[in-house]
Amino acid sequence: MTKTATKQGFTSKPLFKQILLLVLLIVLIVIMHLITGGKMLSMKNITKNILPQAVFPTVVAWGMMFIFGTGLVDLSIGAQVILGANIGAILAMDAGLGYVGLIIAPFIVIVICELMVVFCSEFLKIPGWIAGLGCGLIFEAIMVMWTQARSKTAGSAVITLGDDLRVLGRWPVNVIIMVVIFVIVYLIYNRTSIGINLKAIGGDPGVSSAVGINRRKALIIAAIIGAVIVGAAAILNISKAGSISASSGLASLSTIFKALAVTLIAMSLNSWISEPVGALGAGIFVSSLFNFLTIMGVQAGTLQEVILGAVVIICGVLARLNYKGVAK
Amino acid sequence: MADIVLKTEHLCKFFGATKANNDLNLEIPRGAVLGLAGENGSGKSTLASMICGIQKPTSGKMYLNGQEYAPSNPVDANEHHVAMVLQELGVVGPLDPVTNMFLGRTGKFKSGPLVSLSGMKKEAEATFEKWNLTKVPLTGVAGNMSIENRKVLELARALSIDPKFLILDEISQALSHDNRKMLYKFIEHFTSPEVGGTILMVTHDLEEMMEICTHISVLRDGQIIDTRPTSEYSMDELKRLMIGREVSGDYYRADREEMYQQDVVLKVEHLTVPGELNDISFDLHKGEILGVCGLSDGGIHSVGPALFGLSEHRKGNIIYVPANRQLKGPKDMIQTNGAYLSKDRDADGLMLDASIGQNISVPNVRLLTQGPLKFLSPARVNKLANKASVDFEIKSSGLGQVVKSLSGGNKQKVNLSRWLVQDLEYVILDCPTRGVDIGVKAYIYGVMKQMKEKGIAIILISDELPEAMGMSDRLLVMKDHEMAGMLSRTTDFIEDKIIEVML
Repeated sequence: MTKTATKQGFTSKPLFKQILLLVLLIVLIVIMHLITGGKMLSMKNITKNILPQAVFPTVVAWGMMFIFGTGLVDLSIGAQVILGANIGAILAMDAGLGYVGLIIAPFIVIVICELMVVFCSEFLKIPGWIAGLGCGLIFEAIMVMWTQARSKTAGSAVITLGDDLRVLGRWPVNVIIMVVIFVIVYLIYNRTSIGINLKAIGGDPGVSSAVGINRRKALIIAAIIGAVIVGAAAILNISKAGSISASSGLASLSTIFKALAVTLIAMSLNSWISEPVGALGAGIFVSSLFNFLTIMGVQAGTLQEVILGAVVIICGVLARLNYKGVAK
Repeated sequence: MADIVLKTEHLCKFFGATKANNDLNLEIPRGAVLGLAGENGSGKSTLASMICGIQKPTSGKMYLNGQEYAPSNPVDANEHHVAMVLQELGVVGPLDPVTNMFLGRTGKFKSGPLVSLSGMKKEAEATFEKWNLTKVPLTGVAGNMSIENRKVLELARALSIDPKFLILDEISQALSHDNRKMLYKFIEHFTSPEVGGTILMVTHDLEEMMEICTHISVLRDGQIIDTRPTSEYSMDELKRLMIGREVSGDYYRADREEMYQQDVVLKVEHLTVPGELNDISFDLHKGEILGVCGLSDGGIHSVGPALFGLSEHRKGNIIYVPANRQLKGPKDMIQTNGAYLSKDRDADGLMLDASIGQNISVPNVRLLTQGPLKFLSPARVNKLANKASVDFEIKSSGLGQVVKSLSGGNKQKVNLSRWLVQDLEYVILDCPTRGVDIGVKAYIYGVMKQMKEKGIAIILISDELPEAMGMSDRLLVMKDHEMAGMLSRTTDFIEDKIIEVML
């Protein structure tokens, strides 16, 4: 017996929507380019500003996707980046370990920090955002104490990388690394059991447990992968900037503000487009938007953030227009 | 001697002092469809969840095909070819339907480190084909699927493990007429000697149980009261065993007349929601029960949200006639003493993590405030919540109990009571008896009859034709999202005639 497919009010058109998004992104960037009188999309501006400035928020956003995707909203990631990058710089410069210290330390430090947040949340049974904020304060304090001690012994609180250790932050190496990370993230997130399980436990922990997914194991694996990606972002960031100052009072949150915006845009568009691709597009768009606003003389730190906030809201509203499920 | 597939010996499951299952001894023969009958909270779902590895017994043993069986989790149960379709909706909304089908088992499709998405899709389609299930859209995200399609998807997920023992917990309550027929055919095929499957079925639809099941076990207060072949039970005896007292056999309306007042409460003109409803018009009278029925995806479950103003891009007019007021959204409905109970009570009706008291008081805030600043009066809140709890016989440890922890029937009582404690003029009920036992069902029908006598107008949207026929004055039959006919209780309520209009 042949049965007919049932009708639904909502018809999924992923390919159409994806093309629509791409066209929209290109149109917006071209409009911005035209408004700047052809300055924005010059090769020099793209390679010196737009793409390099997209690297850090985009890579952090990929890391956040793994962590936030499990339902753990961890706001200590900015503090982890500062701590990991600085310890990497200390080992590279003060301990003389060079690239070995610069690369290995951020990965180890950020994985440990992230697992601390996970364990606080899981075993102390407190909401992830509270665990994240608490741990974030601790991570910041550790870095502040370290730099204060360093300023007494080495004469300077800020560790600055030597030019020979900053290759990873330069064009085109940073963008090539971003592309490699994108491919890995895309495959893990969309094409492995790890990615599927993390999205399942973030989507519905009850159902996930009922179908036999080990929630705690999936959470820890996702946190480790997310932390490794954030570690890569920390290395790219300090390599580009040369140094990162310690912060306190949760000022580290501002380090990841753009990455948070990129993550929110990617997550809000997830019924249209896979999050890793959405984050890549959003990262480039956010970088382009800030570059556009800077060229137009819009004041940084106030109006630029207002416009970015509006973009995040618009993306969220557009993406949820046809969604019947629960918007998270 | 019968070939026993599953056997339980002194099986117990305690939650603190609560004995959800107490000393269960059960033998299920191969090829049987064993129905578990019992009131809400009698322990049916607990037994099912232990068999499929979601919960572990406190004591006692289970045997599967003669071997001791103690599944550590659902995947372990699946590896023993035991699968289950859960009572509550069990899909992960943000994931696509194909991934949902193989959640927890995606490793099976690994090609190197990666999961083969095309392999999963192929197997999903093959499962639908193999078992002749109604095809549901496999693209997009599961959260956008209708409840019915999600249930079919869950059935497909259970079948994708190639089960030999299948537990169906309240599945048919989410299905409409044609998909129920599909389910019954599937059950017949699955338990045939060629396939050799066995089914444990939990359903509150006793007519369905008597028709489908080969054997019935009755549970009461966590214990098995009786197990016999279905042919040895009469409907009245089954009800009596379940409830522990006599229950009237005829709980629908006894009259055969279309009876209501001439005053129109709601006038619906050309109600249209693109892709969901097309040009629906009717009048709802005081004291009328207007049934809405149709085949699956015929659009009946779009009527409630559209009337209540929850659907986007709604067109047409909904007029509250006594005040000649155009109703544009939920606020207008509530201000004109209207109410709406959705089909999916967990997602759209109740606040599951809130207490019974909070759930009851939220829709009634305007009745509970006092003074010019509209402060919420704790005394009024408690009084109203207590009244609702007593009037609707909600079984709980108190008004502070979290709704999530209640049984299905008690959740529905909370859902109903929170609206019905008000002085309503009209109410839209979408599948009000979904997932509730015979006692609660009889109770809800009793409430509806009382409301009708008081002159309250009711729109009863139902997947169950006997329910719609048994309670309605008129039946609005829908087909392909349009109105196919309006039938009268006096002249047209013949099942074949209604089905003819549906088709």
